[in-house]
Amino acid sequence: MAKKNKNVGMLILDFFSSYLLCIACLVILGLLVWFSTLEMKFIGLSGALDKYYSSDLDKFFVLPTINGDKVLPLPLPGAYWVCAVLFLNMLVGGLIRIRKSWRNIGAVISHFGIAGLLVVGFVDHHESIHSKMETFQGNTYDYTTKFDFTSIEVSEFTAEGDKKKPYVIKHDMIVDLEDGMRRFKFQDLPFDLEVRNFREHAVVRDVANYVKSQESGESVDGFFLQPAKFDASQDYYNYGCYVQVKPKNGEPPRQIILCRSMGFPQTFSVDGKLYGVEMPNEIWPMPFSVELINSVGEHYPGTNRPSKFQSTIAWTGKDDDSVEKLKTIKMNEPMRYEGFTLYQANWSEPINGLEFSGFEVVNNPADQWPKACMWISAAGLLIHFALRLFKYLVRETKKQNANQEGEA
Amino acid sequence: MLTRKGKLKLMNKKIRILGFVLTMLVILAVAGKGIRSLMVSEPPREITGYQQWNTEVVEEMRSLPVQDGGRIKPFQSLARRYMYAMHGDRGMKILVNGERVKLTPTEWMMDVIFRPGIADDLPVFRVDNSAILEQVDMEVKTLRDRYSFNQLKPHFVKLQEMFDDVKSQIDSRGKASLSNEQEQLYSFMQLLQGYVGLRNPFFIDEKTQEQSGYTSMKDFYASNQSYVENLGVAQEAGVVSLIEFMDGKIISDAILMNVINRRASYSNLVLNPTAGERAWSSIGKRFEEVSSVYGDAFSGYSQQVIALKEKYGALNTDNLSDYFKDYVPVYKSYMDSLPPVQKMKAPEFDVVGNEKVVLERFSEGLINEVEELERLQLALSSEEAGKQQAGIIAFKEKYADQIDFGDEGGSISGEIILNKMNYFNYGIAILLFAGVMMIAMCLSVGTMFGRILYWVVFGLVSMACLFTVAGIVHRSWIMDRSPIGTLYDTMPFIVGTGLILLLLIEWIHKRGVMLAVGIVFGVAILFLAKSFEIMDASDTMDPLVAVLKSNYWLSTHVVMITLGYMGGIVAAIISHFYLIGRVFGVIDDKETKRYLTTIVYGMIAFTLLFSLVGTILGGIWAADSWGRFWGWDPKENGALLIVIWMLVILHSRLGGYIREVGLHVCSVFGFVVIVFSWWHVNFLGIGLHNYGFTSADAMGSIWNFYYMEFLIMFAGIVMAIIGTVKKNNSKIDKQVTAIAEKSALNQPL
Repeated sequence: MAKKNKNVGMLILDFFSSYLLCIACLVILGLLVWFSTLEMKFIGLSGALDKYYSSDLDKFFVLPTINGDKVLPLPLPGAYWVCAVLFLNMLVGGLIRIRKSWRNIGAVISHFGIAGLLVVGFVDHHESIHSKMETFQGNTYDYTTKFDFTSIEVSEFTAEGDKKKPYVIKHDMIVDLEDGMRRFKFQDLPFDLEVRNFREHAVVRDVANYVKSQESGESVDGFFLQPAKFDASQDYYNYGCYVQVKPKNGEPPRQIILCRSMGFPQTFSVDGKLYGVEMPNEIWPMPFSVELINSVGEHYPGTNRPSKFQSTIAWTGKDDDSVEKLKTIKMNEPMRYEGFTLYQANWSEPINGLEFSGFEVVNNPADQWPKACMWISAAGLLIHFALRLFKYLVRETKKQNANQEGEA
Repeated sequence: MLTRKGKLKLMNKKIRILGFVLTMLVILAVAGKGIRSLMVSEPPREITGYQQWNTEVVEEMRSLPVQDGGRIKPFQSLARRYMYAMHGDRGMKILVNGERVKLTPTEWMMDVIFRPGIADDLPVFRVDNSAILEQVDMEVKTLRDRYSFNQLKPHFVKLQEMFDDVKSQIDSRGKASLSNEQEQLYSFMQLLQGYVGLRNPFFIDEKTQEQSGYTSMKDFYASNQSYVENLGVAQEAGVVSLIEFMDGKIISDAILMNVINRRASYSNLVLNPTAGERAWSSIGKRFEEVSSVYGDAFSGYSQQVIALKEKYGALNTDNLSDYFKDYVPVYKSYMDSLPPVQKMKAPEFDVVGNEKVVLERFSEGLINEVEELERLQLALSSEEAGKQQAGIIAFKEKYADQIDFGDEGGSISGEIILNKMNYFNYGIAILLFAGVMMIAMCLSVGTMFGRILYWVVFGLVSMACLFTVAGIVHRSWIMDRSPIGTLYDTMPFIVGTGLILLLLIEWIHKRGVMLAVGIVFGVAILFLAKSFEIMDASDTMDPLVAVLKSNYWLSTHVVMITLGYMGGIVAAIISHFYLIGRVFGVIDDKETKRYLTTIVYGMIAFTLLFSLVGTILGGIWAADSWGRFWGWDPKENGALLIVIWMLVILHSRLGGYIREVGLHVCSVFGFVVIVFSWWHVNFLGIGLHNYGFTSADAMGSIWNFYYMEFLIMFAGIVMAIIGTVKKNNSKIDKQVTAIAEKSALNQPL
């Protein structure tokens, strides 16, 4: 009997639900994971993440490198896109088109769990925010600083040199200014700011000792901002940009170079008042405040091997600010509140007599989803393999019985 | 009664079985030879004047509690670790008056500490690459050999120069820039320095005696008392003599403390129950703390005194009074910065020459401990076994009762029994014996004797399994934690659980194959564990870092991942049997082929289940500990690769892309993936699961393993191709015959 001709739509559907596509995706994913693991030794973890697991379309194809320098002429699609196709394959082939029978119930359940894990990966990749909170004993903190997100902070300084509440220009508002310029107006400040020449990774050089390249901006007080190649092994983006302060009173504008690694504000005066502008990590306000009560760090006797890191904090939530609660955060025992999780990340001996504790604060909408996915996948696989084992044992028993009857 | 044809068939089958068994033995021998090539086998040397320790003295010394690597353990365990690191073996063979003697780690360590004069002649140092010694003009015999401290001594200066060059290279370009040879030199020199620190650690060498004037630690404490008493005499002689007297004391102390500080880091030998501290710290650590503070204080003091002397120039009656006014605060500050255990209250000067000195008592504990150590040293230096034994017993009575193991658990007697039991060594021995019985069983197939042997082998494999499980439980009980916490722990666990599973399958099917698989699998991995323990030379019961201290996660994530490894390894070994068996024609009946394929399929499913759940559990643990579910850490990637490969195998089988041979070839490749995840990623030197060692030898062994596996896979693929061609040819032959027959039938008669 001649095969029925299929239309293009069905052929596409067949392709996306095929075993072959599933196997191809898994093999490519395996190769990507393998190459990225070996390459981490040379380009660091963040370099490997950027190269192999990026969702940027301009990094769609990856050329693996062997021993850090030999480029392998084997273009592979990035892992993000391979996972996207695998998800589609599982959805179409493993959930929608799979034969719905009791024999396949386990496979359907496990496909559902694994597809869920891929969703967790996508949500984590796009939505989770990681930040750090470095706390000293006795001080209260209601913000953290985001990893790899910069900002521009403008603040007035008191006569005693104390910083007043800053005005913040967020990462998203300046990250696209590589070629363009944007003017920021502040209602309560006697000046505007013009930001331009934003660089993802740059260093400040002095004109006397370095030659400016074409990408460098103009020099300010004998210095200029030189774009630099990102060193993935250092895992640090040294953002930089040029800022022009435009006083509203008609005073001449001032040119300022900002760089993330400077760590201190560039100051200027307008209307006799002192102001500062700097480029720290972007501040992230928290819906709670934390005060470090004490932190404990222990090592095994005679070694540098940590045996215990823990901190006791007093914290107050946004809705119950009159109630202060105590919580002890340990390794493997974080604090969770309103979708935020505080982890004990690092610890050091007291600094200037004050106990110190470093926390990582994470907001990930998919935080607890992996647990559900794990139970679903495990249950699915157990059902699937148990049914197969049962079928095998029944067949074997029948065979043995038949043999015994034959011998009799 | 067998016919002549039947007998020939049986004989033929036996020959093929023998060929198959011999091939498996050759593979094991090649693997064993690879590991064996890393060992040194030199004939024992005559050690003139060596006197063996009394057995009872050694017995007492074995259980002396010591603090090492963050946990309290018996002296025997510490000695084993040092012997593995320096000597690369569990014992040292020497000749004493022409007689062969094997020194245990405890005996050797006692020699090093208490009679270094003899220990320096023992061939302690294993050198894997003699090229580093040729560079310092030493005569070498073979690439790998062992040398005594005294043989190396004349070349210390040159070795030190080379070591300094390597250290500067590390400082400027990092450890990754070192060549294999430089890395070997670096490790060797660290061991050499470690040995120097072990020799007679509580006593002061002649050079330091000469420079500092102290002959023992006891002397040092006594000198503080006499110092205070003699201050008055120095005063009477004049202010200049007083200053010289005080300076002299400070300089002597600094010289002594400098030596102690250098040695103290190695002197983890005897416990010191420090009041008020959470856990016992070693006496070496205590000395180190005290002496480093002393060193810092002296450094500050000497700089200020030099500045004062530059300011005043030569002291005379005109400037003496002013100098002294400046000097007193410097001296006071020096005294104030000394650690409490050593501190004398700074003399209070009212007028020049009329100071009121108040002596605070030194820590009773530290002085007593030093005195106890000196007593122990004296006892063991005597030639009477009775005195030696009494010395150790007295020392143990003083301290052993006060041990506080803290949260980490521990048991001195339990660990002594564990060391004595050598569960895993017995496991190897029993399995090897089972292997011999197995060969005999293969040659007696179909006879009563063969059936008896089957049950003997079954019993022996069960016994080996029991020994392995007992070893795991014993270790777990001592460490007071889940059975797997370190890389070493995974090996016996894989063997124990793997043997249980194989015995269960064997119990159901009774074909004997799973017993053979169990023998090969058990011997290979237990032997690997043994070699790893010696080569790595670290404590296999190291306490866990803070983030790993969770019995819940260790019992779930780590156990599941390891069970996944076990499933994949068992599947791969069965596939080795299948592929090699088919090449030799031992496995030729459909039923056996299907049986092995079904078991391998089941084991792959088992591996997928445990690897997948284990990997997700690891992600959940990471999310609880570090705030992220997945970080693409090399170890995480390794686990993911296993899951991916198992999914590839199962989907390829379901999709009909692989059949029987394809499944077994893929299963063998699964072994490669598991070894990458289990071992290879640890040597990359990156990530959160990095174990920190980068041994060129170990990497070489891993690559050899990969080559061997690829060879087996290649053989399997070639066999599959030949099989398919034969099948097709036979189909064509049948078709040709059928056509010929048909045409013959159509021929007119």
